[in-house]
Amino acid sequence: MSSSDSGKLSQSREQNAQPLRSREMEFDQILQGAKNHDRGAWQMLVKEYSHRIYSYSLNFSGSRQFAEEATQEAFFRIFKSIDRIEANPKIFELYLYKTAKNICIDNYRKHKGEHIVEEQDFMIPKWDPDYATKELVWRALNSLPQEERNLMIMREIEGLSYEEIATMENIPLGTLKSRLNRIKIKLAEILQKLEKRG
Amino acid sequence: MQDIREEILLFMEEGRQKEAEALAAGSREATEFFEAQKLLNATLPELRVPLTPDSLLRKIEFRLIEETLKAEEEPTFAEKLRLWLRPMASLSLPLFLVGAGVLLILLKSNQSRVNYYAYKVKSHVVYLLDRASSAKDILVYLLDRASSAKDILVFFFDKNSDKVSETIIKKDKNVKKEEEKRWQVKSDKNPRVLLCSFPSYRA
Repeated sequence: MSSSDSGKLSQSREQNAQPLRSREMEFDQILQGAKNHDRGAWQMLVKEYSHRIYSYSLNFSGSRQFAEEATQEAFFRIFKSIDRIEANPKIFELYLYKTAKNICIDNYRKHKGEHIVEEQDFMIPKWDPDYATKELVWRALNSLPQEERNLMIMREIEGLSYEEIATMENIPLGTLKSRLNRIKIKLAEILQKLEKRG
Repeated sequence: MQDIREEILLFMEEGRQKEAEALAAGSREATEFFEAQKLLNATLPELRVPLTPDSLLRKIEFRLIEETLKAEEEPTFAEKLRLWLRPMASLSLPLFLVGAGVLLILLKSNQSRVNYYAYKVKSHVVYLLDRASSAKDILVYLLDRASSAKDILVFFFDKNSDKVSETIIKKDKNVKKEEEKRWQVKSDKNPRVLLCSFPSYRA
């Protein structure tokens, strides 16, 4: 994927994000429908939000199979707790990410941080023209402890704002920013070491 | 070095790439850091997946349909409670009376608790009850503690009169009285729980 596509990706994210995010009343109706077990409402929620969970889980684990299972599990959990969810699209989105994070960290602990990803299951396909660079960056990211990895994924990959992450993680904004700066410096160091190793 | 890197980061965050590059040019390490950071900034957003695979969408939808159907068939909590309470309705008054009776017995008891020592005698548990005030107290206590026992032989000691008396819930023929103040379990066919009170043991 070339760098020119990243512009298109962020644009597409905005396009995907806008429909329900900006139309709060419509989201409210959809959520109410979901609470009444309306299948159409659930379909819309899945279509609108599933890629966030999938993307997060994929980047956290590196495994496509795990990411699929995590996404299904996340929606299952949301289904079970839908009555307690607030009718606010932004809060719902943060709730989704939090659910994805919990599933990923549970899995991480279950495998004691040594979850091996099979080559054919790896998140970046071999035919990707930027495979080598992406694989290197992902390996550097994967070297971080889980909490640091979580923050980097949410900020640098999923594009959440500092305020959103601070709310989700219940961290003061200033603390979050300085923590992220330290993690970025650390990540750059890891990347440099990996590059030198070849 | 840490300060320069943080400054470089700040410039890059603010989109001031040229200033960041100029600052990094001061040292080799800073330049390497700048290049690594540039690579991260360019590559990390590309790791984001903008779309869910269709196959996964179908799997999720299918699973949610299953859960929706289950939820529609399952009775609500209110309905479950109503179903559970229905057979209880006819028993409610007698149950209330029994419960009230037990509560009265407990309240009337001079002792607020029954103290005991527990010993293992062969395969049985022997509870030594100290200063039980009445047979009724023992009975209530026993029923609570040893409800699975088949035969329970109960002795209690009235400390004031130095007398050993016994209340037999179910008689155990295998217990042999060897001496006045000591009882032994004779064989393994004895009751699973044997409760007795000895004057020499105090709480």
